[in-house]
Amino acid sequence: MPSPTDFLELLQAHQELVLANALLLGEFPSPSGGEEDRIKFLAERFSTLQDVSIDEQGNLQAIIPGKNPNFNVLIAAHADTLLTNKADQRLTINVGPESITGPGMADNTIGLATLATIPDLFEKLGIQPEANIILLAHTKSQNSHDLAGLRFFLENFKRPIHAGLVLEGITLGRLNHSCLGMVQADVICRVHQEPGTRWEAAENAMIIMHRIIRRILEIPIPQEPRTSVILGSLRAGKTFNRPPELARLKLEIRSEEPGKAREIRYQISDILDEISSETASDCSITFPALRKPGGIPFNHPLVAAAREVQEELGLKTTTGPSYSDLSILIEHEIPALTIGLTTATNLNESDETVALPPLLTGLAQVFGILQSVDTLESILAI
Amino acid sequence: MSWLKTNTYHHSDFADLEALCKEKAESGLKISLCIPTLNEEATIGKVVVILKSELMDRFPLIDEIAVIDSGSTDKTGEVAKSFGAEFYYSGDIMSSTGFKRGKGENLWKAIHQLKGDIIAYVDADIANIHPRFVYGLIGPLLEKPEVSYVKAFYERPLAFSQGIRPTGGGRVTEILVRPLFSLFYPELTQLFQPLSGEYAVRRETLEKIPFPIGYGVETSHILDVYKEDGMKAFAQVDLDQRVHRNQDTNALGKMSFGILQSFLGRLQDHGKVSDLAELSSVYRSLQATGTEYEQIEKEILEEERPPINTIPEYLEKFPR
Repeated sequence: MPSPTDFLELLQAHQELVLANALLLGEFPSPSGGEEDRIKFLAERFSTLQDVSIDEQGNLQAIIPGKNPNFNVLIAAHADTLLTNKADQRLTINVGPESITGPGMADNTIGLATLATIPDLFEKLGIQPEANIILLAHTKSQNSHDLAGLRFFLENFKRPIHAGLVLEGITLGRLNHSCLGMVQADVICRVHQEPGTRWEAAENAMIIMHRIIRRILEIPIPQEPRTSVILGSLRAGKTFNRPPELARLKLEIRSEEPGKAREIRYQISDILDEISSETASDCSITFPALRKPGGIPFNHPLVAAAREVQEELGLKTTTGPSYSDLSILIEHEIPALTIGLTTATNLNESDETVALPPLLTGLAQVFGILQSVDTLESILAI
Repeated sequence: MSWLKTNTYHHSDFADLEALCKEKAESGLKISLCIPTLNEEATIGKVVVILKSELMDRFPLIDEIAVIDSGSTDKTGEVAKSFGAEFYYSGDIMSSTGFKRGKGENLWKAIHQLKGDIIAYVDADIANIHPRFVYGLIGPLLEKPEVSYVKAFYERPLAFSQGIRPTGGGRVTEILVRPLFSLFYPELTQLFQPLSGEYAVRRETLEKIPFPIGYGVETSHILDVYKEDGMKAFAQVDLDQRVHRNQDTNALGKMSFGILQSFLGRLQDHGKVSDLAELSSVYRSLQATGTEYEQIEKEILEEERPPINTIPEYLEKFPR
């Protein structure tokens, strides 16, 4: 059985298959809900596998048959990327000896390209896994779609899934095995401006939003269990001299303590009610995403096995909670991990750049972990 | 059935790469890919990665990928080699024949350097490079023994973003080459894009035709192959869209000037015109800066390399 460091050597000659897939996939803009070009490409890639199908949410699934027909491991990567839209037609991706650059390359084109190459890599390695490997490229993960593709798949997939591995482009060394309670809130504040009022005297939504933010920052946040309120986005106004009628704040509440995120959510709603009535403005709040805390413990055999693989590859393991794909697997009580494949710079820019030298370690990590999962059959598949 | 119907293909006709590789194996033919370059560091990596991993590693359709370079001053060579392409400076190939700077020179030298019985030529500046650019060109050669020269053509994208324009019919094709073909070689008007830079050709054809080193190489190839073997030697393949950098009108003027030199030379050789006056090799354009008016002169000489089967060094490597 090859060790994780053996995989480094074995995969070196085939790393370009991943690059080619990243280049070809990366050219298709893939906004949430508009992933069909990438999905179609993957369907062609997987055409020699069993049970290749695209479901009603646009997810693509395919199965690499294992030796044990009753043992199933899911590998998932989200197919959508932020910052791309269909009007882009075709994105420009460039590759050099050290890096590959393009919009959405780190999150998550390189993850999706790795998923796309797994069947070829198994073949090149001459390995048949014990478990059936279920490959899933899932859609609508970002923004208000809130992982709709992955949710749909897990609600409707007919076979039991004994372990899950979520592939993210970044960052190599991460090992997420649990998730925090999380609430995303979208706050909108609208003021009424009487027609004909001079700009100097008009109501200003920005000032009211400022008051809301100050009050949110006054909410006591415990350091233990870890809890935080992250103000992520604030938008209002268009030019120098016109008081905006509308202001919008996006924030996320995270907590390790069950129920804490919900409690803070109610506090923020109360603040809005209060300020709304004080200022005669319309303040509203919606919650695009809600998560419950959960996951497998640090000493779970799956986490231990993955840590061992990372250690052998010389990686410094960073554990910590995840808030995205993993949480949906956790809701379905599937022991699962999220791992990163490489490192990146210029995140969320049009020249998002992924480093190539660490990617080989990232790939060796995937196969090392899959091999360890195979040995955990008796623990996981009961 | 007209040539246009029987010899025009779409790349999807050859998308079953497993079947294509089987045909290739049965034919016993070797296939080489040549990418001529001059300062293409930005795009060469992508072209090599995609074509090599798809058409060599996943499917054994091509036997070698070689970049033939006219002396890049950027990292074209370094990038190409790092992704596993062979890289040659065109001046080092058949060095006894010297070195001339031009794409045609690289294509000509490639015949000596590469081993294939079929050579596919693909430019390095294709922004939307895809394996179809190669397998689409090779397909007709594996299917029809009488075909020896396969030419690419492309569709016009309906919308395009800033800075990138579709080649479509191409301006030089539509306002220069097509009218000339209509006048002198009506059958050749069946070619959608006689000037496209992507084609695959059998070695026995490549070695018997001369190579203009500059703009005229595609046009003269078509006229020479047509004269020798007729329309049946050609096939053309729709490769859908090709996105590349757009050229300004001035550059197209120079290109047309080079093409006309080759074309008029061929007309005379083929006996279609006689007593052609000696042609000037200076291209003259005008420039106005405020009220300063001046004429710009540029020497554009369409030098030609002779058929490679007349070069002793070649005959030594590929004996008759």
